[in-house]
Amino acid sequence: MSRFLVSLSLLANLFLLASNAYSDPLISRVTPPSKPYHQGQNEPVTARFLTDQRFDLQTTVQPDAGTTITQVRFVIDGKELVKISAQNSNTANTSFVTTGLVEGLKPNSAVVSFRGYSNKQEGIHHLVVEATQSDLKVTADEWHVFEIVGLQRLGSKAKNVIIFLGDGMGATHRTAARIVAKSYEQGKANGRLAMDTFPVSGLVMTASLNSIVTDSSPGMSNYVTGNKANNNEEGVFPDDTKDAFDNPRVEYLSEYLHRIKGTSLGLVTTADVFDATPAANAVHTSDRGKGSGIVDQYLDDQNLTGLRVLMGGGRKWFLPNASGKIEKNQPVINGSQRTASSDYVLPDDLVTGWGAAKGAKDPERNLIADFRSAGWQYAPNYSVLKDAISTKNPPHQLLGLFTFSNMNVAFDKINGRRCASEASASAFANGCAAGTGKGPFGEGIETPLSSSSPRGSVVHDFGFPDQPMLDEMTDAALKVLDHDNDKGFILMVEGASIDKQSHLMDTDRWILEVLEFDRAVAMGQRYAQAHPDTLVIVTADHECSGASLIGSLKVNRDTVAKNLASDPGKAAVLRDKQVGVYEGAGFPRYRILADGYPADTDIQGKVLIGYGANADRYETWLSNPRPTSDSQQPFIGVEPLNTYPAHPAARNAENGLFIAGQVPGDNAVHTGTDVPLGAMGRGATLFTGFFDNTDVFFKIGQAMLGGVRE
Amino acid sequence: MKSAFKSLILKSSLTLECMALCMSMIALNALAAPNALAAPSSLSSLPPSTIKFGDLYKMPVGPEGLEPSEKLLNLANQRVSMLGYVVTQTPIVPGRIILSPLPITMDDEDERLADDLPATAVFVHFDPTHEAITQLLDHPIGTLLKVQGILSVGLQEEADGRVSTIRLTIE
Ligand SMILES: [Zn+2]
Repeated sequence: MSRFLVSLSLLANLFLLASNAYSDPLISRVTPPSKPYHQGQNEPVTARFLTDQRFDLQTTVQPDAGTTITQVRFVIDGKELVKISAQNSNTANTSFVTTGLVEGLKPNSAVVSFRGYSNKQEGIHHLVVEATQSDLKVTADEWHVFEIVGLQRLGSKAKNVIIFLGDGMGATHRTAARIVAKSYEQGKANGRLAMDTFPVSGLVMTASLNSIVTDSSPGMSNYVTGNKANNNEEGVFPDDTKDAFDNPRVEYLSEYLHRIKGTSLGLVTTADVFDATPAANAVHTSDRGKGSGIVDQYLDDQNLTGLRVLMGGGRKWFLPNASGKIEKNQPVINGSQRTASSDYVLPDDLVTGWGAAKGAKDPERNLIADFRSAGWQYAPNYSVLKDAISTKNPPHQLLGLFTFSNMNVAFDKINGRRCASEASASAFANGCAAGTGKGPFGEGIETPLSSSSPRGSVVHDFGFPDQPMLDEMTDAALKVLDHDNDKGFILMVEGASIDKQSHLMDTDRWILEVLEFDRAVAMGQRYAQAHPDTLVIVTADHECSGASLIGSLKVNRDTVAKNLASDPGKAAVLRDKQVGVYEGAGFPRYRILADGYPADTDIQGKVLIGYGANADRYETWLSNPRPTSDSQQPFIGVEPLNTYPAHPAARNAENGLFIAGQVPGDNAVHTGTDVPLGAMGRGATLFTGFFDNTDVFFKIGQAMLGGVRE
Repeated sequence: MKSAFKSLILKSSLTLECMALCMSMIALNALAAPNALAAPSSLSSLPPSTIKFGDLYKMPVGPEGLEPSEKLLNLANQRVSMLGYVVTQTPIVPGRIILSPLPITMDDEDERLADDLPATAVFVHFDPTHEAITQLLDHPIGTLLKVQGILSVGLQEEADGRVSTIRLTIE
C-alpha cells in the first residue's frame, strides 16, 4: 500500500473518530461484528455467512444524558430492513431492551435486535444502523459490512460429515501417541495412527473473537458457524445484556443443514455432555457454564438441530432437583446438579425469530424421563448401549449418560477392564488386588476410600464401572445415524480429556486419551470407506499445554524410584542422568496389548514431554498414580490411606524435579499455536493448505451443498 | 501413630481424652494451633460416628442417579466424622470446601462444571472467619483431611451455583 493511501485511510479514520465523538446518540456496538476498511488493510474484517444462513442483527445505543432512545433503523444495502421504536418494541422477531444491561453503559441505553435475519445474495453487504433519541438527534453508523459466501456448483456432494475433535490436541500429542502405539525403527514409524493416514492435511489458525488463545467454546463453534465467538461463548455474538441465553445468534451447521435438507446430528464426547465442545454444535449461549439450560435445549430444540444421538457424561444435569421435596419421608438425594440459575428462558423475539422453544426455569424437571417420552432410548452404561445397537433396528434416537460429570479417562477405564478380566489380572501379578499398590500401568493404583465398593480401580471409586470407550460410543452413534439415513448426518466426536489431562500435565493419561480418540477415528474412517459420500475431518479446537516431545527416559522405573529416594528434587540426577535427548532418546518400544493400549507406560525409554505453557509442577517422569507409602501425608496408617496422586504442584512435591511455571495458576493453559487437520472422503481435497478455523465451516458447506469435482 | 501428626484442634473445649479418641474435628499437617471455634453445641459431647465415601450411596450409581444408603439416612442430622481430600477449586468459596474420595483439581476457568468431581463428594461448611480452616484453602492441594460436623442430606444450591447432596457443617 502506498504512503499516499495510508495517509488517506488515516485521515478517514480520524474523521470517523471525530464524527463519533461529536455525534449523539452513541452507537457502541453493531452485530454482526465487523471491522471496516481501515489503515493497512485491503480487505475488511467481516462476519461471513453461507447463503440464507440465519443470524441476528443487534445494536447497543447509548443516549445523551436526560434523553432516551426512541427508534433504531437497520438499513441493508441502502434499503430499510426494519424500524424498531421504543413504543411498539418486543413484537414478533424484534426487541428493544433497556433493562438487564451490563454495567458501564450510559443511563437509558438500549439493546435493539432483529432476530433470524438471512440473506440469499452473495457478496459484501452494507449494514447501516441509525438511532434516534428523544431530543430528535440522530446518529448513523455506516461502516459495517457482512459477507454472504457463495458456493460453487461443482459435482458430487457429501451426504454425511464426521468431525473428530481432539480437544487440545496439537502436533505433539499426535506424535507422542504414534510413538507409543506404533514404535519407530531406523527413523521410520512402524505404523501410522488412523488419523495419520488421512490423505489431505491442513493447518488451522485457532484464535477466537477476543483472543489469540481460545477456549473450547469458540474453538468448536467457529468451525460450525463460520464466525468468531468470544471465549466462553458458543453459537452467539457478544452483547451488552446480562442474560446468557439472549445473545445474538448465528445459525449452526447442524441447524442450517437440518433446516434446508433435514440432516440429523450426533454428539459424542468423553466429557460431560453440557461441556463446551458438544454444546457448541447445538446450543446458543454466552456462558458455557449454564448446564441446566444447555442440556434442556438439546431436547427442546431437537427439531432445530436434528439431534438424534447424545452421548457422554453429565447425568447430574438430567436428574430432577425437587429441592426441598420429601419423598417417602426422606429428602430427595439423587445428586442432581440442576438449578434455576443455570437454566434458560428465551425472550419472545428469539422464540419467534428462530422457532426455538421458550424454555423454563425448571430445576425439578426430570430430563431423562422427558427424553424417553420424546422417543429416545436411554443407555446408562455400556451393557445397555451394546444391547441397544445389537439389533437390526437400532433406536432412532439414543441418549447415553455414562457418568455424573466427565467420563473417566482411558487410562482408568482400561485399567478397570483389565482388573475385571481374569486373564489380565493374572498377566499383571497383583495388578488389581486390594491394597497391593500395583496396577497395570505401573505401580501404585491403590484402593478406594471405601469399605464397600469393589477395590482396584478408579472407575469403581467413581461408581461407574461399566463405561464405554470412545470408539464403542462412536460405533453406536454411527449405527443409529446410519439407520434411516436418507437425508445425511453430522456427527461430532470429541476426545475431551486430551485437553483436560494436558491441563494437569499428566503425560501418560493424555497419551492414552489420544490412543482412545484414534481408535474412534478408525471407526469413522471405516464408515467412510464403506460410504464414500461421507466427509471425515480430524482436528483440534486448539493446542493445550504447549506440549513438546523432548526425548525419552534413559533409565528404568526402579532406577527412577531409587533416584527419587536418594536425590529428591536434584536436577543433576533427576534431569541430567535420566532425560535422554537427541540420540540418547533412541526409539521407545512399548508393548501393546490386545485391547490396543500399552501393557506398561513406565518403560525404560518411555516418551518424555516438556510443557511450554506449564504451571509450577514437580516431575518424576513416571505415570501417576505412583507408589503411595508416603510418609509426608497425615493419617498414614489410618484407613483409608492417602493413595491417589494429588494436584500436579503438590503431586510428587516431596521428591520430584521442580519445574517453575511460566503461567499463573495451577494448570497448564491453552496455547495459540496452529493445529493440524486431516480430511478424507468426499470433499476432503478442500481442506488442504493453511486456513482459519472459520474457513472450515465454508469448506464443509461447499462439500455438502456445492459438491466437489471427483 | 496419631501423635506423629501435628493436630489442629479447633475446639478449645475438647478434652485431651476426646482428642485422642476422636482425633479432633480437623487435623492437618503443619498448621499451628489456632483460636477456638464457636462454643460446642450439645451434640458435640457425643462421640461422632464415622462414615466413608463408599458407604454414602448404593454403588455403582444407578441409572436414575444416586440412592442413599441406610447408613447415610440413619446418620442424617447427627455428628459424624469423615476423611477425604480437599478439592482444589478456583475461585475459592469462602466458608466452604469440598471433600472428595480422590484428590481432584477443578479448573473452573476452562471446565466450569464439566469436571472430574466424584458424585460422592461432600460439601463442608464452616465459619468463613475461622482462620485455621481458611488457611487450608492456600495449602498444597491434595491435603487429606478429617472433618467432624453435623451431617445434612438433600439437594441444596451452594454459593458457587453447584448443588450439594451431602453437607457437613462444622459446629
Ligand atoms: Zn482446555
